[in-house]
Amino acid sequence: MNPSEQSIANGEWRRLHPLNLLLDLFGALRSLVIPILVGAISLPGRALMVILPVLGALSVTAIVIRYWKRQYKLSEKDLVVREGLLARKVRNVPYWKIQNIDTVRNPLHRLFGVVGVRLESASGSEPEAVLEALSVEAVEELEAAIRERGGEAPAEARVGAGTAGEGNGAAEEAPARLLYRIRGRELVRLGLAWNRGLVIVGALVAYLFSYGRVEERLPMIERWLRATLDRVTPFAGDVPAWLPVVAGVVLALALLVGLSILYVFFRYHGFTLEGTDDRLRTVQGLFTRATATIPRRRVQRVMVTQNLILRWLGGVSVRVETAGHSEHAGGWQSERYLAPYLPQERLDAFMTEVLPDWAWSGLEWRPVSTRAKRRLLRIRLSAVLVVIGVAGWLTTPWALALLPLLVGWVVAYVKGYVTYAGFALGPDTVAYRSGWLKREQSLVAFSRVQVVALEESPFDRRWKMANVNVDTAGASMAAHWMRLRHLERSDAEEVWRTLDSRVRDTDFKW
Amino acid sequence: MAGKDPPWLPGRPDDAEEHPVDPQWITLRRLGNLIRTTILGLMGLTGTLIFLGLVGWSSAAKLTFLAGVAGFFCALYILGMITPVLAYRRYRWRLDGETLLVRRGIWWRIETLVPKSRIQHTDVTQGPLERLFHTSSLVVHTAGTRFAIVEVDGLPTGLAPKMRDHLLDLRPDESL
Repeated sequence: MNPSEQSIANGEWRRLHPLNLLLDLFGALRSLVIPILVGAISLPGRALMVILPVLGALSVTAIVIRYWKRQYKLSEKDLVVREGLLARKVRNVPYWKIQNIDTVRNPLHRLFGVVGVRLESASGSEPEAVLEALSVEAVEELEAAIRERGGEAPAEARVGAGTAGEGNGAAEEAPARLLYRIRGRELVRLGLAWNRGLVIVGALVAYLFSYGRVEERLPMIERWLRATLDRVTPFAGDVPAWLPVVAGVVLALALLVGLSILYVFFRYHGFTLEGTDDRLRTVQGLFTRATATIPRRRVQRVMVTQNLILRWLGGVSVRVETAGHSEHAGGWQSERYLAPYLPQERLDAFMTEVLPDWAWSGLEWRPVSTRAKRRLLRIRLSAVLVVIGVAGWLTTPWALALLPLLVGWVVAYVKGYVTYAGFALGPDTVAYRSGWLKREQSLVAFSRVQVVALEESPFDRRWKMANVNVDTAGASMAAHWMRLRHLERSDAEEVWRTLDSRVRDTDFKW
Repeated sequence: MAGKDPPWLPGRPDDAEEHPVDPQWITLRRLGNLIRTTILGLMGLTGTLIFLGLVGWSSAAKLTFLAGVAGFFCALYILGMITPVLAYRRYRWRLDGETLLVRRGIWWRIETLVPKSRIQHTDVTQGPLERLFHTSSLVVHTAGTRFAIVEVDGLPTGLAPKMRDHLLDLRPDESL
């Protein structure tokens, strides 16, 4: 059965907003800047006079054709996108398969009153459809179509009765309830804690180096620094030599923190989370406004993270993973925060409200094996001794001076890790927490567990321990890994048996 | 087909017993190890000869070095012959009404559990060597990430499709 066969007749093809032309032009310019500059330097002027207009005309033609042939249609059961002049492509995305609807409005979008839309299905890394600019009305129409016609999967695609609420059919959407709103003070705290400054500086340096010749300018920067220093020195009198260095370091750190706060401020300004019966919606950003819609039943895993600074400030960050999760750059959200900064004491109430089926508050945490501390200390300290010994033997005996520092570090790590690490089995969920300076917790409903794997190394066997892997859909490789480590062998078996009996009872549904 | 099935082959694929795979799997593994070690050995030997041609050692030292390299590859050959037997003893699969369980590993052991309802799609594959030994592999794909692919190799050729049909709730005629 071809679902679009009959509906193709009754929908009507539309183009995106003309702003797409401008956006594409900017994109083309950005990718052409380097070739043009290189050409301008190496080619004679007359050749350039011919090549540049031809190149420009070609890309403008390509952009216009692309815009002209790129059309979409809201048909009965699916969104249809067609594009291409010579090689044509028609893509049908059934409404019920659409996992997330993300929108983005950067200043340019806002100026023209349009919205960029990205639709994701469960298929993974690539978004199902990206519509870079649509008018506000068109977006509302699209959202309504997905809401009204996508609520129910066709009967043949549904596997038994699910656990999450679903099936509002073509009903009006219930009014959304505000679940969370970030406060200005919390934005500043978040900027402090996340320390995104280094990321920005790193990106900046990478950007500069990718455009080349930074090495050549380094002497210039050095001269400038020296000149500044010389100009300052007469006023300073005879300050000790270390003072400027210390001042520089302090200044650089302050700058990093300031950048981080600015970044978080722009990106997460006005962050709100709203919820209806079956979906969650976030809005964020000062200049670039981004929204994300996450159906509750698509949530695969909840993660609560708290780094050292957040712990001092008494806050946590709450994130979710959905199956269609993908890492993207270019203004689209790669992280799905439910609450970037949540006061720790509000966590239980928040989770109960946001995901009532997941029973967060009643969890009874159980520790890892009592022998884990001894095992970890033994292996880590031996490693430190070997490394320091070899280093001391190869270089200078002074390397031994590092020994107390490293031993202290290892002891602190092992103590911190063992006291915090643990697991919990709820009525419908399994949870795991770990980490030393950065603490992470993961919660997964049995109905979202994909594969369970019990792992044992020879060392695990010797210490009567085992590890249980809980695999979910869309788990990011960079995020907290649900590998319940250093569990008492009997506990691992209990987790395994519970998961075995409970996971098979539940149906997984997209 | 049931008449000539060896005794360790289950009558039904979903009898909730833990089964070993076809003993031919050992031979298959050994052949694979043999081929791998030979390729590696040839490369290693060429490298060693080039290296010895370049350095100015005494011929006794060169001979000792060569013997060392040869000894290393001999050990690899022997290991490649022994480990399949050990691995075979530790390799079990079980298919009950709802889940597929695979147990493997000699020193690093892993038990993988895949509920039937989580299976996205399955492959039954058979390489040229497997065809020679009348075994095939069942590959189960889930929506998971780190354990998205679970493989049971060394299944007798007739069994893998039977298991697949059971996992996907197919009636036999649908799969033909």
